[in-house]
Amino acid sequence: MKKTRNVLFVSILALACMGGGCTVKAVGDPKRPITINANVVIDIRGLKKTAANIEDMISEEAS
Amino acid sequence: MKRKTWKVILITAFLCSGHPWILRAESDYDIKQMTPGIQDAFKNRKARYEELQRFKTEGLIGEDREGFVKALRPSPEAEQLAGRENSDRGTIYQAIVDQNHLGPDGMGKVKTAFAEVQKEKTRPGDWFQRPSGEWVKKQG
Repeated sequence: MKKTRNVLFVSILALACMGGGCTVKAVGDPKRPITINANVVIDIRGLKKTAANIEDMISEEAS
Repeated sequence: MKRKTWKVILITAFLCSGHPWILRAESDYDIKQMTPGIQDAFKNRKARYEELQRFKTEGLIGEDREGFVKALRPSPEAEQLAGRENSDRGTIYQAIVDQNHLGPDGMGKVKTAFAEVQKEKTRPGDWFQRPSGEWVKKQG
C-alpha cells in the first residue's frame, strides 16, 4: 500500500514537471553555441494588477 | 536514504525548477528601473490626466481594445492629445515588457491587461472599445 502510494506520488510529480512551460532545445554542432527556445509563461492576473496599480497611481497623483 | 528524505528532495527540486504553476503564484511585474524616458512618460500622463478625462466626457476620445486612446470624432485637438498620450503609454508598456523579459508575446498581453483595466476604470458615459471591436458607451 505504502509502495503504491510512493509510486503514485513520484509519477504525479514527474508528469507535472513534464507539463512545464519551458522547452530547452539544443540545435546543431555541439561545439557551437546552442539555441534555447523558452516559452515565457505570462501571468495575465499579475499584469492586470500591475496595470491597475499604475493607472491608480496616475489618477491619484494627477488629482 | 529514507523515503521521507526522497520526498523532500523531490519537492525541493520541483519548487526550484521554475515550473509555471510556481511562477504563476509569484508573478509580479513591475517597472524595476526608472529611466528618464519612463519618468517623463509618467509625468506627462499625470499632467494631462484631467484634460484627457474632459475629452472623454465630451465623447471626443475613447479607450480602445489595445490599451490606447483614440479620437472618436474629427478633432485636431483630440487627435494631438491622443497621440501624445499613446506615445507615453507605449513607453510604459515597452518598459514592462523589456524589464520583465516578457518575450515576443509580451506586448500583446500587456496591451490587453491595460485595456481591461482602462475599461474597468472608465466612467459612466465614457466610450470604450470591446474586444470584438465595437465601441460602446459605458452605462452607469
